[in-house]
Amino acid sequence: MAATLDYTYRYPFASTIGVTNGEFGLSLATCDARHRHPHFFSGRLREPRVVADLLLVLSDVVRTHYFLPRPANLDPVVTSSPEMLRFEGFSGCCGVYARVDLPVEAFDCEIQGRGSTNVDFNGDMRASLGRLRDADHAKLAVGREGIELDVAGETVVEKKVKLPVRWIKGFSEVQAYQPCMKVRVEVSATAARQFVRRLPRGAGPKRVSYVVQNAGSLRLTQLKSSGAIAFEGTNRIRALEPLLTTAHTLRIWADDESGVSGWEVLSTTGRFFLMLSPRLYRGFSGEGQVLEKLAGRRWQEALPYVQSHLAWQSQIDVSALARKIGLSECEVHDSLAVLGSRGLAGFDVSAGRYFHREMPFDLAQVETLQPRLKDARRLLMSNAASIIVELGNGAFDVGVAGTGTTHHVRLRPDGDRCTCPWFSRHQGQRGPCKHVLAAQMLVGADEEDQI
Amino acid sequence: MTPQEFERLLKPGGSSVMYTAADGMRLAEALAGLDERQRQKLSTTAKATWRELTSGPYSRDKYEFAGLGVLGVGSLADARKVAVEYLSFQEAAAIKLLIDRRPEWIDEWVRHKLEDDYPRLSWRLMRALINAGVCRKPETPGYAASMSGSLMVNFNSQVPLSERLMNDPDLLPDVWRFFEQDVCPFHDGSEWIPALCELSSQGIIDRQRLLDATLDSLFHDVSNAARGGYVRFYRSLRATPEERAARQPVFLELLSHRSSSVVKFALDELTRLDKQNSLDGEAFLASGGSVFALKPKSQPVAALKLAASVANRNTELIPSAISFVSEGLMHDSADVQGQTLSLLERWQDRLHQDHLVEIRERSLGLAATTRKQAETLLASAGSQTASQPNVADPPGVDRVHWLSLVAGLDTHWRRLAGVDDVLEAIECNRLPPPLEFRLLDVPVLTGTEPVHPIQSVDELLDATAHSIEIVESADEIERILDGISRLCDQRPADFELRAAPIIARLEGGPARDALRGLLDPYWVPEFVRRVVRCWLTRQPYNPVIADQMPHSFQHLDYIHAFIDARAEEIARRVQLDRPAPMLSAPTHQSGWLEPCEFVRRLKQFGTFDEFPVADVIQALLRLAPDNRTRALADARELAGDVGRAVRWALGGDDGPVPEDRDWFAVWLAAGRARNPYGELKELASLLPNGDAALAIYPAKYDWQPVQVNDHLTHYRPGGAVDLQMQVNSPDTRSPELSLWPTVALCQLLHGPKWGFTVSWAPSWKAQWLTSIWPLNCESRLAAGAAVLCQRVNAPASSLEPNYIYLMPLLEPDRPWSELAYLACWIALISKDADSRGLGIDCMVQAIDDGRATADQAADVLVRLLPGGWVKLNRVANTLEEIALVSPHHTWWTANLLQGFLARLTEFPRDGHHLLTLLLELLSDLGLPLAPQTTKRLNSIRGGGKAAILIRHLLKLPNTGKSEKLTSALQRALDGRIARAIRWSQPSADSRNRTGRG
Repeated sequence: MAATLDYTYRYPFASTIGVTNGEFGLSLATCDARHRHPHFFSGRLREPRVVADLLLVLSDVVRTHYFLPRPANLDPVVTSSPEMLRFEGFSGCCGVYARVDLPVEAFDCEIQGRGSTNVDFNGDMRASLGRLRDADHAKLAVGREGIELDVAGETVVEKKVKLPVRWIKGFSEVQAYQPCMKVRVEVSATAARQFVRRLPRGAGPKRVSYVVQNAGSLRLTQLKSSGAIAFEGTNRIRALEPLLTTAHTLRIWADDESGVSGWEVLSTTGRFFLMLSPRLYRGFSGEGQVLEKLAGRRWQEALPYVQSHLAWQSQIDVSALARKIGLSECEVHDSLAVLGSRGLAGFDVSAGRYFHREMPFDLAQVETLQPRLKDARRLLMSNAASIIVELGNGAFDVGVAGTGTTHHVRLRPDGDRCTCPWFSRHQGQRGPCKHVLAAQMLVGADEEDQI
Repeated sequence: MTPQEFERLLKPGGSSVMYTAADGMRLAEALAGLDERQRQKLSTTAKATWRELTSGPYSRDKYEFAGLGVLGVGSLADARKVAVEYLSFQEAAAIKLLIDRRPEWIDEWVRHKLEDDYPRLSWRLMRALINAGVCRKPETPGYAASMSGSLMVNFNSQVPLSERLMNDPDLLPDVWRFFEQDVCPFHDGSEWIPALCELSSQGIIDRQRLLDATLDSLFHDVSNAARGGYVRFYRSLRATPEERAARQPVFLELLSHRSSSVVKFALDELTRLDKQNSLDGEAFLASGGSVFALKPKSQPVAALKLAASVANRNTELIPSAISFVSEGLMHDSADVQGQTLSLLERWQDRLHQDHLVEIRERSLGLAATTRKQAETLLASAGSQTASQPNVADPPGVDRVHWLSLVAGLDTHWRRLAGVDDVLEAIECNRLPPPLEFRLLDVPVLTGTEPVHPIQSVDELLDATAHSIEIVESADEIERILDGISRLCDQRPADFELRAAPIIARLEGGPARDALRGLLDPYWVPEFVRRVVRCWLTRQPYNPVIADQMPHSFQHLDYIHAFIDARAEEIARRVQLDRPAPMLSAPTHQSGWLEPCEFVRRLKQFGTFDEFPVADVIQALLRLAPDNRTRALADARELAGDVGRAVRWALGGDDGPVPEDRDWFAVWLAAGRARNPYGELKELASLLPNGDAALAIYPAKYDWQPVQVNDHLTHYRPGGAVDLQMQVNSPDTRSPELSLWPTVALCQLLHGPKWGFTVSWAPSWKAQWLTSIWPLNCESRLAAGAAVLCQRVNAPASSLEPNYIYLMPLLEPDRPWSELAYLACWIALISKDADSRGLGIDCMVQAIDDGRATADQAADVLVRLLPGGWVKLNRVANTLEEIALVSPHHTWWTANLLQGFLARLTEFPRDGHHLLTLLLELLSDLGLPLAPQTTKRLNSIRGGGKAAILIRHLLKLPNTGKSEKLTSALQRALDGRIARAIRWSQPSADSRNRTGRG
């Protein structure tokens, strides 16, 4: 599998800040997966400076590789729905996910468009964003009405990029973590700013650090304790600093099981959500959180029904959707998780709900980008797995051929295990190994045959 | 031309000849008339010659000449491989050759050579090609980068750059690329600065455009160094008052820049505008608020001054100025807050109710030194300051609750935990004295997590498989060894199936992935791997040592030999299928072994012919102080020499007799279990030889910092500082050391100091060494202090997890020795964020539970100063973080600082950092300076920051009992009561443990 895909962003014009059609503001160029240029929205910003800061920080994240000097040149994705504009980005190292949520209240008009698209974030636009002030009567336009490449009358902007496969996978995988996250800390932006400014320079500690709430302030510690939130890479948190002067609150979300944390900055105009992978040197792409769901079958029948009901909702009510299409909530949940892994849904932790968006890339075969799943299927196809013994109550011992040996997979209700080096190393924290997946598929198929 | 003729041209005198410029020119002339088809036929020969001439030792003349051949006849792909960034001999030939050839791929080739961060194409070659019309002028930033660097380097000419530019007018438009493509050539001393200034003064370059382009570049995404360059160039242009005034809107925009250096520049320009009476005060006050969001204080201070000036000049702007400066109260610096309040006081009569509300809200986050000022301002303006709620600190002292808790405590533990000391301190309103106890006097297991033994073969196989990939901790290896020892006779039906993949990995060896898990050849003694293999395969155990450790690690030999001896004892049992518990398996973390459990295991061993000596020694050294009396009673029936030694270790009266000489190692361990820090006179009669005397004397450590500029230190890695650490135990090579781990641990200090040494060990290895003798970890702290020095000025590194040496300090019942403070201080002043972070955690915890002594901490810090590498700004930053944790920590830190200042014989140049912090802390607590510190500070003469701070410090009043002090005392008392309660409760002992074989 190629490590990167050649991808070309083709924008009808360069995103810019200036006077367009007689109005001053930020005009963002769009380009979707089929190289169309949708126009979603055009409206005046109530607080241009705050929005500019939010977009700049998003741009910072997207352009940063947090542990190697490799600047990325990837653009954010915007999703428009009547209630909200969401800008999403993913760092070059695939370990930081960032999202700016601008509710309709941030503008002085309604949002008309629905859909997802790439938006051009170029250097000049970034420079101009830094010059926006609240006193400026600025508007935000996402796309231009009726614009096509051949009639734009401006220079077409083409950006040829190497889109890392792990970037696309990680962008999708990150959604799988969010439903498990709970809000653990809420402090004022002032306290958050003081905390961020006290963080060690550079990447900081090489081992996992923890943030603890101490009265109304935050403290960095190297000791695990009850209530402490783990994270790695203080440089990733420092990205938030520019937002903490105008914001009012910082919320930290976390899931101890997976080790991910989400840092949500709330301001009067919108929200900024920054999600960190469990380790600085480990992106989201290889985590395999949805592999078991993908290998399972519960979602397969429900998926087409759920997918047909997606209509760019900014929040998807699972219960209502389950009632509407006559499925169980679990089936809808699993289907949404799988759709998330295919880039067709995002998750909003604040609302605790999925939202519909489509990554503007060709993701029809995202599953094929899951090498472990692919390997597991290959093992099954070559009859490399066989049940050694069935112990009852859903417990099986399965032999799966490995390199120069046969791995012993134990499927147990309280957790599956394998003797392969990968499982021995990660102990299931990065999802199941290919041998466990193959064993699960083998046992699942056998059970279906029996039925 | 035939390939043979071409080859003769390329190798006129064989491959050993020196190639000159004339050779190159001859080649270029010979190829001049060829068309592309003819050249193509020669390309194979060119490539073969290239390979031949460039193989072997590097020789520039051959390299360039061979490249010339490829450029002359090769394809684009071939030409890309030829390095042409600098041509010593063949530049003229290359120019001629390419001009004659005019390859159609030339633009692509030039673009390729310029696309990296550093251009890889000679400037003269490129310009010659452009001037000859062979290639187009490239649009990439690499062209500007090449121009920026190459035009300045002109060793053969005294002609100024401005003249050279005028001589080649085609270059003049390219100058704008420096601003448009973010290629900044304006570093300090750059020739471009006077050149462009000169050209603009002569009107050859548009001066106004130059000024605008420079300012515009500041908004671009460039490095701070580049921004500095643009600012430098702008200043060199010496803008006239009119030019400056015309650019006022840009300066105002720059105030919201994220870079503090750019904001400083903008403020400087706006201040100049103010001085020339051209500043638009209203616009400044409307757009400058974001200055206060910057972390440094100089920019906010400058903005305040400018606001004051604007308001002085135009009093109508005072309301706007008040709104503007109020933002200064949000800044973290007490200086900025203080100057803001001074301005607000000046404009007090113009304060509106809305302003007061705003100030009141912001006063919540004020520093202690400015809070009073804010209160006074608000009070005089008819408003009150906001109270500071503190969720963590209860409002007052609940004496009844305290007394009832204290009354219920066991008197012995209450005294030992220093509860009465805190009660006395509360009465006197002073910080309680530090806690003083001996490790052997307290039940350490009450504060230590138990280690759960492996229960089944299933679990053992999983743990082994995991440890081959990653060793999580030293306890994990001990659990595996113990598991093998107890469960070696159990072979479930699927054992072979499950063991086979693990054996495959074990036997696959460490070749591919050497430094991982149990396969790590440096840090895991060989016999540990062998015992695992022996258990899994049932193959005979090989007791022969094959490899020696690398020289850098030879001081580990004796410790490894000791561990190997333990592993070998287990392996022998595995081969005989005789399961038995491992005597030394820790029952609790940090290597502790519960004494009753130890005795129980020994009794199980009664059926064996002999005791495993190394295991007994290790077990004795791990004996916890808890339950020793009970264990001694249990051990009454233990027979033989081991029984006597164990009873002596547990506090029994019957010591060794001269006949025990053969068992010296066991008696030494027993002695070190009952007396870890003293001299073992009882063993004097057992000494096997003269060298052995070092074993019975306690190790003593002496240290002193080595000065940064000490020329005697020949080599020191970057980021390291030097500490001379000495131990009274001489460097010896006695074979007995392999059963004297207490001595072998000290020997590690004699190992090499720098380079790839034991400091590169993984974190579990350092833990393992510490767990060999948890009763006395002084040798590990001494090693830790030396190792921590390696990264004092270097960032954290995964390869050097030095923080691990601080872990013993987190054990709540381990008293802090001088070496503990030493290791902690080195960590606290370090740039290594892992070590510094854990150092802070250690100090925070030790202050909380009363183990940290401000006086002793101050002593050690003062002793470190002569090295010249303790940076007091780092000390202040770290102590500030510690002080922020609670009022108790604030008070302790203030005492430490006072103690440190009082001990100084000479006031350090950067001492003001500590004075600033001390002023803040004492103001927060409402305390004056202590008499000794007052005396010392009174004796300091001079001016500057320190003198001002000292004046403020000397004026501090005593505000009596403050809420903060009460809260601090309450926290101290809570900590000690909790300790007394914990000590008085029985530890979870071995009797409740299950799964023992």
